[in-house]
Amino acid sequence: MTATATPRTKRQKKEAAGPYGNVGKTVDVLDERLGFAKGGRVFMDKIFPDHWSFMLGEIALYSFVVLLVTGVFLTLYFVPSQRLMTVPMDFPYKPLRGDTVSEAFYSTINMSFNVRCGLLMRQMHHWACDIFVASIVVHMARVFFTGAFRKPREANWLVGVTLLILAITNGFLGYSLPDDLVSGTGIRIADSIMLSIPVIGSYVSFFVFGGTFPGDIVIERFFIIHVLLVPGAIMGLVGAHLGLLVRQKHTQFPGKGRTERNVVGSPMFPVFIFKTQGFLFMVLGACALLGALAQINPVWQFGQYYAANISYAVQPDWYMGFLDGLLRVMPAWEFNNFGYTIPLEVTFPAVIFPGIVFNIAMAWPWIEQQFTKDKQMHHLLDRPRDVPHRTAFGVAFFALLAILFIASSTDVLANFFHVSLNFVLILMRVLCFVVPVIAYPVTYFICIELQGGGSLMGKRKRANVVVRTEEGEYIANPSDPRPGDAHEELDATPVPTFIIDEAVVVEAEEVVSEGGVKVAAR
Amino acid sequence: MVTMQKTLKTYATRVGLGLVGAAALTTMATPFLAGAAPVHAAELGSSHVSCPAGTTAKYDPEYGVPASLIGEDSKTKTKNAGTAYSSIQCYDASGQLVAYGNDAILYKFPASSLAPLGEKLYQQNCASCHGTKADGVLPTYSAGAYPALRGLGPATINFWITTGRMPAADPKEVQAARKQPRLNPFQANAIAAYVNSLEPATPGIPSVNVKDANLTAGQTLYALNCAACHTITGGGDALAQGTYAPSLHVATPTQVAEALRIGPGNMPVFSGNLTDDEVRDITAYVTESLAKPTDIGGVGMGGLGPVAEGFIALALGIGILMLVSFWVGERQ
Ligand code: HEC
Ligand code: HEC
Ligand code: HEM
Repeated sequence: MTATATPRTKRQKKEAAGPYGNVGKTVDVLDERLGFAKGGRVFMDKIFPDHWSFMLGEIALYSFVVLLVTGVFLTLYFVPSQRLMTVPMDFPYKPLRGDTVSEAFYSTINMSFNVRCGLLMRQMHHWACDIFVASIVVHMARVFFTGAFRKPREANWLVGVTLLILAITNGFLGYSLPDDLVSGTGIRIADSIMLSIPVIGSYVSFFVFGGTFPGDIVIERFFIIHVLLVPGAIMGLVGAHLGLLVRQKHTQFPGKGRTERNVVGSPMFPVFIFKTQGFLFMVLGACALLGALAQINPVWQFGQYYAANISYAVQPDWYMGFLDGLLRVMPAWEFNNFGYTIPLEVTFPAVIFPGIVFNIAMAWPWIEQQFTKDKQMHHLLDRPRDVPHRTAFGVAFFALLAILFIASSTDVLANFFHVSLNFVLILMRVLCFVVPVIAYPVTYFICIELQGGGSLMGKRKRANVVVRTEEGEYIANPSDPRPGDAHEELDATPVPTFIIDEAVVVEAEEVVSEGGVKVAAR
Repeated sequence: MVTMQKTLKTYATRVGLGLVGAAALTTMATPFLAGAAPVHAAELGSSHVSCPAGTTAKYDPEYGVPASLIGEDSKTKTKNAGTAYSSIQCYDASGQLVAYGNDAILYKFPASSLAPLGEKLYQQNCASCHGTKADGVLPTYSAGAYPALRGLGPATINFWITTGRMPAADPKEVQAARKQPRLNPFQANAIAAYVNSLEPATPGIPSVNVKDANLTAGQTLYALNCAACHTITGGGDALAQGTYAPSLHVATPTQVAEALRIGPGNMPVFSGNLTDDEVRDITAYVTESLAKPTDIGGVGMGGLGPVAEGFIALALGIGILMLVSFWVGERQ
């Protein structure tokens, strides 16, 4: 068959279309006009290390996708208004029939009871939010404990901490939207926190609420920040985060064939893209599972917020827990001087402390440099045990936050374990200081032990052979080592040739692939 | 090339599994969420309260609780006097008041003929702590004071016995706990009759006409008056120094109305500030909506709110997803 012959049979048509078929054609069309191929190559050849801890950031990415999709659905039904209205008498939930509520609250319960899949979307949105912030935290912990934030990746660490702050902020704003008793209590506390800021406090509060609390515009304002400004900022920063990642390439754990000058892993196409897609569905599935089976924030049971009402046992979502916990354990220290009040019992836990926490988080790469004087480039990760001081500090820091987080449920703990609330409170005050102070040295020594003991791990114990002598004495002798049990030096395993070959080729050709494992030069 | 195909195949399986999972879950979710069915389907007609059989009723919208029943002298008596305005009184053949109230709540006195039985039960079960004359025991020889029971009114006696608080298991406890009652309702009635015969007092034992209740008013009043201690979902919570507001998920309508009118332990007495209609509405809301919460969104987690939710998000949500990444990724 010649190339000029008109293709007739199916097979001929297929052959005429070339090895990449119609896809190839489309790509060609785009490439000729937009220069697609070059960018596409970079994208498809991006190497992703295969270690599982590198997937944690993706949980954050995909739960954010879930938040966007379900959030857009919610905006179709949610009415961000504090105008009062009467719940219709045929509303399915009887205790609210004929009640006077705000349009924001009504639209939320209406969405939960009357809109098909509305409740599923609400619950998925809220669970995805809880998972989103949690995944950011574990992702951050991975980056912290392995030293992935070191030069040259300090900027991306800053972007990451900013993302965490934005996520927490947006979670709080979203939680406030339904205008129910619990969220109203949250806004009330936020107002008190603003008021506690020295000098400018009352101005800040007046600015946010357009007058005194609760006012009638705060839901509208929170809404637009929640659905537009913060998600927009998050999207932009996620873009920057991933852009920096592609530009600077991934870090990797040290190992065979891995150097400061290469990255070993799977290429975006055709391996990682499928892996990550599967992971997307897993995250989606987890959010759907929780949204379908576990109730979250049943606002109809709480009712409309009125400033005179208050419920006991109101906690914020988990990611605000450490702030609530510190508010609870803080002694009531208040200073009244020269006609001014400084309510330190609010200012310290809710303004000064989070300021310290997030400033330390932001500045960590430079704080660490002060100690290590290390100005080198790092692409190979640390094993946490090899940097015992950093690991110990991180554990102590997390331990403090964990105690404060637990302290946000003092009442629930006291009720559950039938102990006095006062006892739990005082216990938490003590633990705030004791646990981090103990956690640091304990972690430090565990790290040191692991460093030394690693080579012995996994070895079988040698049996003792007990022998009775003629005099009747018993003697225990260690048995002869079985093959492989002795303290023999391992042979130096040579680096697999294909990796070395490739690493050499890489210098010349940028990238080469084989067997799903790829190596890219930095 | 072979390895690559193998890798691809594994990932393809995982993608497939994930897809199937997501699809299955969404399908599972649909029945929950296809517009929830009306929660309280039955519309209940209004009903009127009538006097117990064999008594004569006197309806008098102007008439209050007989002054003879309200003592002004002792603190406990005034505490228990705050039953509302009664438009119905029921008298037995001897002309004795056996019940009073209105269309919302009828407060009944236990039959005085039960008093002898009640005395026997009292001496067996209560006298060791509260004294043989029900006038209390001062903390001279025991660990704590045992309150006088005279003049507390039948509702108080009935509440403490039917909720199982009395006879107390451990008198040194900060707060007598609700437990399986040792005495049955009939015996409780008899003891109440006996104690009341020593010094008659109100309130009588309330029987609440929950059928006519307005749940919406109940919700609003509950949020305003009760949520601060019992939490908005009625789950209860710890108060200061080992005391606690108990869960409201098991109390009967009579017990709720009693609690409101008598204020057990550290709970305030809601007497003057709530009318009988309002007590009825709160009672209905507590026993119908709080005790059987409308958990249309899945597992309700006992109304524990963000504490339970946070636990699930951290343990199940992110925990499982970390395991998944552990599964999908390499472990070296
Ligand atoms: C083991 C000792 C003990 C026994 C037996 C006992 N009580 Fe009590 N009772 C107490 C104590 C202690 C209190 C105070 C409890 C509290 O405040 O939580 C109390 C409180 C009460 C109160 C509440 C008084 C108030 O001022 O509100 C009533 C009513 C009562 N008891 C009735 C009874 C009856 C009826 C019985 C018999 C069935 C009984 N008690 C048996 C120890 C006892
Ligand atoms: C100041 C806090 C407080 C407020 C407000 C309060 N309670 Fe209570 N409540 C308590 C305490 C404490 C107890 C337990 C008393 C004891 O056992 O000594 C209690 C007990 C009860 C009980 C008995 C529960 C059982 O199962 O034994 C009921 C019912 C009850 N309350 C209903 C209400 C209702 C309805 C309201 C609102 C009108 C209300 N309470 C307001 C503190 C409070
Ligand atoms: C940064 C990511 C986001 C987080 C952390 C977040 C978090 C939350 C939370 C916790 C709630 C309370 C839900 C409830 O229990 O009722 C909420 C409500 C809401 N969110 Fe978001 N959200 C995010 C992004 C978005 C986006 C992108 C949109 C829309 C474009 C959106 C729209 C809404 C709406 C309309 C509500 C109110 C409806 C309701 O409460 O039922 N959200 N959000």
